[in-house]
Amino acid sequence: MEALSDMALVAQVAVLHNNRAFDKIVLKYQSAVRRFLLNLTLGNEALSDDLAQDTFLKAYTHMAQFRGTASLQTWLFRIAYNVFYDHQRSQKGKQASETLDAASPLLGQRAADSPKPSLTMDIYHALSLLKEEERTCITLQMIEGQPIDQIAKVTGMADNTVKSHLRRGKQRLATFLKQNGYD
Amino acid sequence: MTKEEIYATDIDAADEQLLERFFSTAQQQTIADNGFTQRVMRQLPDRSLWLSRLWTALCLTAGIVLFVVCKGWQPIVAGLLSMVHTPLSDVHPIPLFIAVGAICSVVMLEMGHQTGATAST
Repeated sequence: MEALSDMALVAQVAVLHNNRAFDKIVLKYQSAVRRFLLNLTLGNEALSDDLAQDTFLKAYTHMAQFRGTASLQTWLFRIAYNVFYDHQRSQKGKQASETLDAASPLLGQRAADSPKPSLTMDIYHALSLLKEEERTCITLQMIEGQPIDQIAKVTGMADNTVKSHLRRGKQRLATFLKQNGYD
Repeated sequence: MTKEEIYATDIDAADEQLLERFFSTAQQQTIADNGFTQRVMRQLPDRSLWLSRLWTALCLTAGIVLFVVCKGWQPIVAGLLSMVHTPLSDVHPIPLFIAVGAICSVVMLEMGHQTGATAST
């Protein structure tokens, strides 16, 4: 039912260029897309919001290419993932790790929305220990609740590669949590 | 490392539960809109302006084609030649006023269109 209502909104945007329909799509998915990007950028709120805006602008201009084989949320996550990696690639030419290191002073800035600010900071710190691919897979599964086949669609990786990143990422995180008294 | 080890995603059940507990707060996190949707909507490409430009280009092309097909230069040349050969005292003021009025109207319409386009951006 939800997929049908999403398809109706997509059709209105793609065919009739109905901005009100697109407004509903942004309103519905902004939280999930911004949260996904916030975790990928390790809590850099300003950067994640800029990337989220780019994500929705790209979604608007390419709406006619949405085929409905995956859910609209998965499609938006895929665009967000590509926008994030395009940004990372452009930053690597300047300074490889500066972007994510710069996020450190911003850790916990989202504290107003979170019931446990220190835990939020710990999550970003824990995610920062992972490789980018591991972080993406872990974020999509553990926070966004996406199954492996959908993670594969978002990242463009094979299912087995996703499983491999998840396993390594989880092992690394579990070790970190135990070392920091979380068990 | 065996194939099974590579493809396995399951880690120790206790570790899995530990991770689920750790990420449970992040799962529930909802980010308030706080004007985000409005900011996105303001940045959408202006399709109406794009359509307006397309319409202007189509009309201009049609005008040029009609001008060439109907040999639109012939009455203009004939008119100019007759004006050259007509003494100034014989020129009637009404066609002159109409021509000046038409030119002023076109200029004012174009200025209004430019002002509107600037304001909308």
